[in-house]
Amino acid sequence: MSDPAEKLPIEPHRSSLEAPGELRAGAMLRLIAQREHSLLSLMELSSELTVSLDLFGIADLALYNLMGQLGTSKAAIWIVPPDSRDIVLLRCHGVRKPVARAMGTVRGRELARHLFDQDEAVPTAELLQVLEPASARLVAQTELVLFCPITARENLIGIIGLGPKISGDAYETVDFGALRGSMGMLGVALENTRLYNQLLEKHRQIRRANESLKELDRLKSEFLRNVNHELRTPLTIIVAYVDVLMREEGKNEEFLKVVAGESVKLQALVEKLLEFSDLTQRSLEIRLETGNLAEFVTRFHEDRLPGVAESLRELTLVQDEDPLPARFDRNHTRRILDALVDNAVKFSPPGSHIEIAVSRIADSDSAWARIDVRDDGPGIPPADLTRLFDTFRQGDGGLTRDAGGMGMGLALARKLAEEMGGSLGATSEPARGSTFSLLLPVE
Amino acid sequence: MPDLTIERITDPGGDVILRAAGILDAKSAPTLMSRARAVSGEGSHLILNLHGITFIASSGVGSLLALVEDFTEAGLEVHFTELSSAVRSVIRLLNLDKFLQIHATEAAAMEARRKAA
Repeated sequence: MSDPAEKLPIEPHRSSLEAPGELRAGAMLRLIAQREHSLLSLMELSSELTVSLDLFGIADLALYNLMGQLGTSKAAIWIVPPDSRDIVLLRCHGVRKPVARAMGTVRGRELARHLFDQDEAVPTAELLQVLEPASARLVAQTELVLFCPITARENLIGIIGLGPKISGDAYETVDFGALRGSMGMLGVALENTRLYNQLLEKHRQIRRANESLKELDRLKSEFLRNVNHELRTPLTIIVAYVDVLMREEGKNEEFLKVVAGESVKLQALVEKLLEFSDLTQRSLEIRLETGNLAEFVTRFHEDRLPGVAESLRELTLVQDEDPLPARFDRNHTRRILDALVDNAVKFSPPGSHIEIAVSRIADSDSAWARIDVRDDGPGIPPADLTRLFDTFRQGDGGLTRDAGGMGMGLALARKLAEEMGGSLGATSEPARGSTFSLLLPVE
Repeated sequence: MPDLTIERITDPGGDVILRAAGILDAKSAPTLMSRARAVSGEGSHLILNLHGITFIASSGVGSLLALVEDFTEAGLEVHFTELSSAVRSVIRLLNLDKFLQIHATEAAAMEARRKAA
């Protein structure tokens, strides 16, 4: 690839060793200070990338570092999911979000294709000449002047776009070198974070599956103990009466009635056996206890964070009150929150923000602990909102069908909330997002 | 003791003053951003006093620039006052003073805000 600095409206940087004699001492000192700043920024980034293992946290610190390193107020970062045709906007500053988002979902792959073979930043002017006109228009609207590929192990992990320097100076050769170093570190950090999140999410799923299996095993043992007792009694009676029937004559009709009655009981038992596969219903027995709901939700947030980040949605937590003593069933509450977070992930596109907010609300009669799960997805039409919690009911829109449906999950979640003496409701604004609110009695 | 402490004051004109002190780097920048976003969420303009900043990393500088862009997008202003020498030197180095609204004192920033209003 040709030297990108040649395409920029600035003379390429000359190192201080090559500086001509007429370069004034002040300018020299300034140049040295700028190089020192650039080097220090790079060193800071290498240490800062160890601060966070959250995808969005890394996106934040990378943009802040580069903006502060290069003196630009405009920057954006997109991630390239391995299994998607779009690229997903993680963060942007000084760039209109709809433009940055649209560039990812509409034209991102084309941009990614052009950046894939590059090993350093590409000036926008160069990209505009090779992109399709519609893509070029979107890229131009971002007002970003450089696009940098983020790679790791020869895979394109993401893209960073940078705006012009506030100083009015153009990007110099030394900036391209610093950017190459920054992108290398960032690529490894993002890839490691992705793998780490995948690992944590798999671990969470295995842990949950193990808990379910243990519960099923306990219920199976309990069921078998009951069956043993319940089967023996009617069978004993039947056997006894049949024995009498065989020896006495004239009372057959009465004895047969008894046999028929006990047979019905046996039939009912067989029905129960058929319901064995639906044992989860019996695992819904409530176990209320008093605890710190704020701490419980914090742990839940930590538990779900890697998996949600892996799906490229940001999951944040806002705690207004800690400790927040409440009376709740831990399994019930976790199931409800799982359903709400799963729901938010399903019905919001990648790059969306999901927030869990915990607060305490009170009126003259009562006080409640409140957990809101908000997303900034497409929202739910008012007509569907009223039917959302009906059993087997789900919104009828295309997105709902694509997402596979959550009707049973929400109906069950509301039932569990009511069993704990609380409630579960939803509000939504089309194109702005939805909020599901769980109220639980405070202690 | 946290790396960064932030004191919040509401000036008589209704703008919010945040006085930041300590280290502004990648670790503490999210705290500043979160406190500042709360201000923009209320629809208030911000006066950010950086007198107590003893060290500012590039991430800290970047967070200040991001903060200005975020406020501008929301139709709000950020004014910076009483820059410490650590902040002033990096802002000069990068020529950011043409982008940031910088004032010597909180009173001067409040006055500028009153004139703008």
